[in-house]
Amino acid sequence: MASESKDTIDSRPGELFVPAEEEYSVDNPDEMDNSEDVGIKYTILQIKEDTTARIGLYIVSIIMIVAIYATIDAQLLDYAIAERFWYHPEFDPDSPEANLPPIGITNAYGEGTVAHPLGTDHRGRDILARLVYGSRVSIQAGVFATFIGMAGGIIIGSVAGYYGGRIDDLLMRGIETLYAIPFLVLIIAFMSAVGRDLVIAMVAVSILTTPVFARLIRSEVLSVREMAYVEAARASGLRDYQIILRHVIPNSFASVVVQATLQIGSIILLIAGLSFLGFGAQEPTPDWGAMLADSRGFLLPNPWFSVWPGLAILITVVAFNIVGDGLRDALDPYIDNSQKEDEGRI
Amino acid sequence: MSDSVGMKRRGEVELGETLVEVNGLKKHFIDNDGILTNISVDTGDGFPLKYQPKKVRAVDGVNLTIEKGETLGLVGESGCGKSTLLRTILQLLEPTEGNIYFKGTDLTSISKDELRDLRKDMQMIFQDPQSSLSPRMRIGRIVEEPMEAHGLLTKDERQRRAKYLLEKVGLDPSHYNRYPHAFSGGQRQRVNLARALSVNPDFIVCDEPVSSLDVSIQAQVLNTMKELQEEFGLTYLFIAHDLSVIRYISDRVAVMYLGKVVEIGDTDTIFDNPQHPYTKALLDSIPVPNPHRRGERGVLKGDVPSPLNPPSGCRFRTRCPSLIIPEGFDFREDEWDYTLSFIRAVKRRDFTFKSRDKVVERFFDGTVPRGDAGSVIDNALIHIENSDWQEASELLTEAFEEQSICARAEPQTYTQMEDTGVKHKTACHLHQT
Amino acid sequence: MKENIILSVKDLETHFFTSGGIVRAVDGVSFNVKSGETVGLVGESGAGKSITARSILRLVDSPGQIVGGEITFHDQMIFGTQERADGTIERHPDMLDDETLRTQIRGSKIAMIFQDPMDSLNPVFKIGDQVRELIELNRDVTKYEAKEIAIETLREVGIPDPENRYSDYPHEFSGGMRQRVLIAMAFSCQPDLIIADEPTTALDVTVEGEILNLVRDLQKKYNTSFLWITHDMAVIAELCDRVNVMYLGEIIEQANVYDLFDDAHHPYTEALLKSIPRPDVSIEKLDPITGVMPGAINPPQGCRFHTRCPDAHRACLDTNPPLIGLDENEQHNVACIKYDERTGYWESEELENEERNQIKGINNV
Repeated sequence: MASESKDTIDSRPGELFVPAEEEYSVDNPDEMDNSEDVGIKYTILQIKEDTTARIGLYIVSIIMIVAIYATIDAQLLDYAIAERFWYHPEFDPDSPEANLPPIGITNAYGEGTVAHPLGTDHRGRDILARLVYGSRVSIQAGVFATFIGMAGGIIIGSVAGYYGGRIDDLLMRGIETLYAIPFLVLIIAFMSAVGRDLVIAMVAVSILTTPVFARLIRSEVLSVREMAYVEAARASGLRDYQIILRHVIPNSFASVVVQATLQIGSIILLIAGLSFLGFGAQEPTPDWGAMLADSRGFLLPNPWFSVWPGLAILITVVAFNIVGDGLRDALDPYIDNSQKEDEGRI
Repeated sequence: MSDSVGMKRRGEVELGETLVEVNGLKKHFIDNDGILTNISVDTGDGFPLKYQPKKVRAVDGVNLTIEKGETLGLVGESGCGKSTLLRTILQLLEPTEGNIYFKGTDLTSISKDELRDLRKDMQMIFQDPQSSLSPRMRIGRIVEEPMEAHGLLTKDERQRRAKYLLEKVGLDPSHYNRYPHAFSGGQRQRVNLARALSVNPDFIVCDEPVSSLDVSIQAQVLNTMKELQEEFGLTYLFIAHDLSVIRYISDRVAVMYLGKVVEIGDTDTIFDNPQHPYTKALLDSIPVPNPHRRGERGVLKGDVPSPLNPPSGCRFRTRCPSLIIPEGFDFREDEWDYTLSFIRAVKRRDFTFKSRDKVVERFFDGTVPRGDAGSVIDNALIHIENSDWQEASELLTEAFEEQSICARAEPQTYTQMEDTGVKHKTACHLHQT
Repeated sequence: MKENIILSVKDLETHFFTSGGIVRAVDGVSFNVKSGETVGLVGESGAGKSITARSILRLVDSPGQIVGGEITFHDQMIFGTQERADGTIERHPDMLDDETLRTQIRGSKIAMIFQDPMDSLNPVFKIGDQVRELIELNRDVTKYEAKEIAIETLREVGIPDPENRYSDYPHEFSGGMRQRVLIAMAFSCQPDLIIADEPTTALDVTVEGEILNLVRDLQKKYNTSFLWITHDMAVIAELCDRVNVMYLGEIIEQANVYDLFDDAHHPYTEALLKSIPRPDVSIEKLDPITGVMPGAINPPQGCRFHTRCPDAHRACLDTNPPLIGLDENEQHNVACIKYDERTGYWESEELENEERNQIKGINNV
């Protein structure tokens, strides 16, 4: 039982006691700080310990660098789209094959020279240059669409998850409708009506990526909102939007980040598929999927033509997936990659 | 010189006066098992299909007052509604019915903004030290958050006050920038305390704050809470399932059963001289850290009934060892007690029927009571012999338990004044004045 | 084995090898359990009680490992070591192999009950089937017979209407009921020893009371021995015949239950008893033990309790005291140099606060 309370300033109603400057310093650099146990640095450390994830990370970094390079090297585009026609030395313009489209090769079918290490495509354009430029398209599409989808998904998902009830029902039914429609069919129909353009493709893909993130973050939010610290925040008097921004989203974020890396991979595949069907990048913009499509007609004379873009897609998507897996493990508090194996087993 | 910052306050209460008053508070939850399970066919009147969602009556009519400066302990088994009561008082849940007066203001009838403003004066401490602190926030900020939420003080002032509070609760203020996982359970609970204190509340509601702590740490945290209460003039509403903790920290104790308060009074009186049969049974069943008192415990058998369908009349009647004999029966000495245990054993199918004699030997010490009572029991025994336990159970319940006044009427609350000046209230038919 | 001792644990050491260092979770623990008695293992979290229990059944997984000591059950060696010629330690050849341990000992001769029933019960199988399966595996009976036994066992532990509840799923039972099911499973194969790891900690007080009574009745009926692990002194008082008090990987006091409560000798035991609130007595002010139990990675030098001991002297820094009997019977043993004149405890000075291995600035937890 509290007796007559002593006359500390705090016991007078309406007053908060704040000690003087000399007593408690503010923002003292000597203060202990263990942020190395949480956050980005720690996550990266965990990934470094995981060999597969490390390799994935290197590959992704290389691809990113290449993609960025592709935006700054003006010469590259020229190289990639300028058509040069090289004729096989035995080519006879009067022969019946003369009407066939020329197959760009250098000295032999598909073999590279110093000038064209991976050979050229059917229109004499350097395949390596087209690959490099194509990375820009793929990464741009992947990152852009994922980012937009993530932003939209987070907003919708966290609002739906936090409030529940009617709002949740409404939002999630909308999301599920989007989910129910087959991706490809919708995009193709959409673009047939609106126009075939890479930008339109990217916008459409972004919208269709939102449901993935919305559902993911909604389920995280559903469990986070039961946490005592959310209840504590409410009891403290925090407004709902503050609670969502400060507590709910940061604590639900881990799986979203993982999903994002995986999503980039699948979007790259999607755009490649669209281009393959003729709905993504349009001529003459180089794109891996389009290159694959082109290569179909020349499998016999130049099989390598199909290999390079296919390989590029494969490596990129796998690398992103590996990084995604590694991130998932790194962010999982129960898995500690730095444990040594037991020694001296009896 | 130290700074102090004034805030607008109203309805200030002196030590010893009523701070919180709860009147007829009810909180019912609709059973959310989906629409289809709640539809029943009723060919009575109107449309034959009826939608009747079941209600969980978590809190079903609670009256309480809490005085400024005291600690009211709240005890009861799981499912009795104490956590729900706590949260409803704090308006974290909306009451179904009833009023809550805090410093004279009815919390149920004010606007959302006014309520938010009043939250400065009532805070909460949670049970789990781990999930009550956001893992990605530094503890300094965690302690400051309530101040931030209400827009109090400047950033620097908040930081200084947070450090002051950290020290007050027994932590090192230079740990201001650390994350919760760097601290032990007991330390995290202290962070919880500091956070609750940051807006200088009058009233702190504590939901099992020491239950997940080690025994020797519990003592430390409890002592700190007592010291803080002295220093800051705090009022606590304290839930714990460990009755020893309740005895140590509370001035008064309220005992809850299935959504209602069955007894409330001075701590020592409740523990040393409980009036309500539930309280008695509860206290009897606690193990005591004294090996010489082994085997002295009583047993409270049976499970708490479901709050979806509470028993009629007094809710404790299904387990009460002191059920009042229904009128019209003439029992000798122990016969009623025997009958009662028999009824309950049959309900739980607690035994196998070997022979009628063995059962009578076990439950009635060899002789079945005479008269009407006897014939009912005989009938029941015949049913049991035919493995018709359901019939037997229903027969016995209808004939005896449901005829008792305990099943027919809800008990009123009877108040008696103790020497300490504290009102001791019991809700039981045995204590009719 | 002499004197009807059924389980003997000598100098058990179980360590965890982590990147942060070696965690000496159990560091030289010796005790035994006799036929028909209940032995308590009490201590706070981090003391190593759970790990000791699991070590007995060799249930310790990487990065943990039993590294030393001897565990004998009824003349069979569950764990033992011997020294090779070059001084390294290897498994003792008499040690039971994994197969035998699993089929003959675990579940049938030694059973274990855990704290959270939902850890041990499979949510997608009916309760009755889970009990019956255990019986079928460990006793030589047909499926039908096993079901009958299962129903009877459920009735015996107080589950009402067991014939019907046999077909219910775990989530349809309350916490107390589930714990009864676990007890039923433990008893169903009539083991000689049941190890119970805090089975009542998560339960309501009334339910706990019922479970304790149930355990006592069943024990009398089947003469099973119990190793009961808890942090709750009241449960110890209620149930145990002899008690071992653990602190930071070691047993620091061993006595029968009356001696432990009436005549505790180790400062930790005394302090612990003084720091707990009680339901039967009103206490003005609790006397908590200062500080917190240190981690087992870097235990304090000398006596591990000296950092928090109200009676610590300088001599306490010198040796880690072994368990010594207070009299010749060795029924009451204490690991404290106060009771051994040879250690020079009384001659040395008291330790000041600053001299202890305390974490600077934090003397509260």
